[in-house]
Amino acid sequence: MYAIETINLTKKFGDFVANDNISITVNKGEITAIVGENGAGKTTLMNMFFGLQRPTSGELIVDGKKVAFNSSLDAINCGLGMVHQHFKLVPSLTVYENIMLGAEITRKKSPLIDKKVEKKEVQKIIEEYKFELHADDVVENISIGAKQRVEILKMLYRNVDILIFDEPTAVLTPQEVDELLISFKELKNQGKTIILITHKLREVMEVSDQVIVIKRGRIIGSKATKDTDAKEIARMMVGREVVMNVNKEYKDSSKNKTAYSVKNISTKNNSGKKVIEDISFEIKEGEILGVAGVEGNGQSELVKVLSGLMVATEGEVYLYDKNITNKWPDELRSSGVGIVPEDRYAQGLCKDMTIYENMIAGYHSDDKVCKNGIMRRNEIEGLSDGLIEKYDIRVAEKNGNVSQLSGGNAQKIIVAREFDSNPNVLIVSQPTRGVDIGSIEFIHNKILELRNENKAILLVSSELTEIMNLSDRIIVMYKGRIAGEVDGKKATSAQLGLLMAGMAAD
Amino acid sequence: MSLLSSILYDMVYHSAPLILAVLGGLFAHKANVLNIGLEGMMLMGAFSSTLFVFLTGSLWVGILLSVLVTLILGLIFSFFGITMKSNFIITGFGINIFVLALSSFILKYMQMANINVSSIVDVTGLKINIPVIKEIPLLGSLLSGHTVITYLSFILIAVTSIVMYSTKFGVYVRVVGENEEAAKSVGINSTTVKYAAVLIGAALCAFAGANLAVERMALFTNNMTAGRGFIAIAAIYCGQARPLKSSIYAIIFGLAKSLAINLALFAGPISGLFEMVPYLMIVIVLFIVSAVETRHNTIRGFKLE
Repeated sequence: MYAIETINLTKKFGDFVANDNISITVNKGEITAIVGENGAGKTTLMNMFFGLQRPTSGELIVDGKKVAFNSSLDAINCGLGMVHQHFKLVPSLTVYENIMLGAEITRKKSPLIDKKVEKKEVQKIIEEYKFELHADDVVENISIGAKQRVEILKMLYRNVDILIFDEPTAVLTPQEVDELLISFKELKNQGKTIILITHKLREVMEVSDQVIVIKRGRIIGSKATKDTDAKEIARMMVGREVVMNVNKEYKDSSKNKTAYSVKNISTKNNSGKKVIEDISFEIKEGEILGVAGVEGNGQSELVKVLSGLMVATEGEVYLYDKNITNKWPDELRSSGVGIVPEDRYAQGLCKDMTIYENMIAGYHSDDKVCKNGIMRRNEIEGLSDGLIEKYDIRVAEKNGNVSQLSGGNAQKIIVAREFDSNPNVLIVSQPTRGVDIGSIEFIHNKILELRNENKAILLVSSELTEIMNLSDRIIVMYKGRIAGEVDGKKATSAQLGLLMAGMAAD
Repeated sequence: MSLLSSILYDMVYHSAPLILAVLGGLFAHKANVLNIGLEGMMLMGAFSSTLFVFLTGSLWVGILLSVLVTLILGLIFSFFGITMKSNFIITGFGINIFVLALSSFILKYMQMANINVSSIVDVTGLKINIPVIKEIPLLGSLLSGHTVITYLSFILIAVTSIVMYSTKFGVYVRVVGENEEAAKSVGINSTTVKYAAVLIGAALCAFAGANLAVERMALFTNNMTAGRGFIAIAAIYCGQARPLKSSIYAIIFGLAKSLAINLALFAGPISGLFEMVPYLMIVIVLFIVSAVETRHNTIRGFKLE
């Protein structure tokens, strides 16, 4: 008997088929990895397992029984638990309140919650699974890794036997990833079945017993992990040979002119808390400076300050000799700073506007596109068509809206716009988040091309491999400060991991 | 009564309906439902309670029926706003305009300028005088001589705090408002919680309206809530939807109203100007509160999540 079996499971959203006749089996007490690129349909499949979405057709069989879930509660009652990529936690409540949510213990004959007993219960299960957690902490104050442990405990408290993890390592430091993988083995020893959704092959090879590859909503293959290797899986995922490392030649740029310098920048968020403190660095011409760190350690705020979306309370920023501190984004762009923002749909594109309108966003005051206050549509369209060609952006309709594009192609619009404006300095934040492998290769090569044209580049990313592959120098941020600087050529992930966790390397 | 003691008495008197609306509105606010229909619900309470007292001849039956009718109004708001996911502002506004129109229409139909039930309800008899305390100067006028619903409103401040922070329901309301996905993922039915939150608001608004009209004056006049529902929303916002803090803002607005009435007596020909004091006060308080909140704003143009 299998823990989970699906027979021709299909999910359609309108005309779009997200999952097409999926038939898979998951063995009891094993770790099954489901891999595929972004948008391949992994998450849709898991949402059906967890009762968040209903299949259009097909059968789902759990523990030999055919089931139809109406809500995630049904799934939990059937012994299925899910740890989501974006945690479903309530920040203002404590760890134990989050774990007990929906299963509160009340005092006898009263509607009041018995907080003491709840705390004790939670403490007991924290110890049972040897997790590093304090029942009393408020969730908004604990680390990402700890939040994930809360999510896992939330499911374990509900006695689930099958645990689904959706991209669990995306936001963890390398050390936290190792700890999580150890927890997986521990959970497996206790007889739990684990389904791991990921696109990171290292984890797959290290812990899984079985690998299932999904591409464009279909099952491409299913193999025992010991009979395959990372290269083969990558080929199955993408459909062609993948160059897993960027070829990069190191050049000594230390004698070049300094193009961009940041001096003692600090800022506070709206609740008055210092989110970045005393950040200083310089970038030479022809140099890529990588900024690594676990998400939420100030990288996001740093990029916002440097790109004019947030105000620095202290410190200065210079472009060559020109003081550009706290300039607005349009002033920054016209003085030669290109900006690829962190969240492409919130800050980089307007989804409901056309591709050509987005192609000049932020450069509206340029004479090429606007004369006497009137937008020159023909010139804009011509420019846009040229960039679509040059950057190999796959669009169905040239006058269509950005919302029709895939993540990778939408990101390429920003890349085309910012890279082609011939900036002296480029601020690039999370350039390949949620982007397919083909586009990742392309964007990485473009970044390197720009560096070879003697531009200064600041690269902020939560993907450690991206930082290590591209950067000449790497700074690591921890709790809003620079925890350390590492030579890009010699950096190891272990060394960076220690800095990311706030432990200074010896 | 001296001027000071009548200011204090009127402060409590005018705070009560505001506090009820604030406490009722809190639940919806915490559950992330923007209920600008508080005004309409309160007006419905005022109108229907007076009407039902007029029709049935009994004060408490009238108030009970009024609560039922206002709950139905709350259900209508919830159905459109929560189930059908229409815009809360438009739905709430619809409720406000609907009640205003309905009450004037029925008054017209009954050929009355207002509903007067003073022959059924003995207003002075409803005031509860607390022995001993009522003799103490100032404190006596603060604590004694109010109606049942007025006392109830102050007791409810504590009850609301307990419900909000120590019961399952309160936790669920806050969770639904803060992270609806988290609630859904453990099987909390967020729609039910939101409905309940709106309905509590409707019931308390009915009491607020009844307090305003029938219990204190035995009289309903057109649009007699005069923006109190919006004042309540302002108080909820200023007090960050915390029961005690928001109630204190409600009392501040009650004080403004009390000052306006008591000081207008000395103002002679310009006494009408004092009518605007409570409303002016809202603008000033809202301005101060948001000025304090955005004092350290470092983010330009968009909201940091």
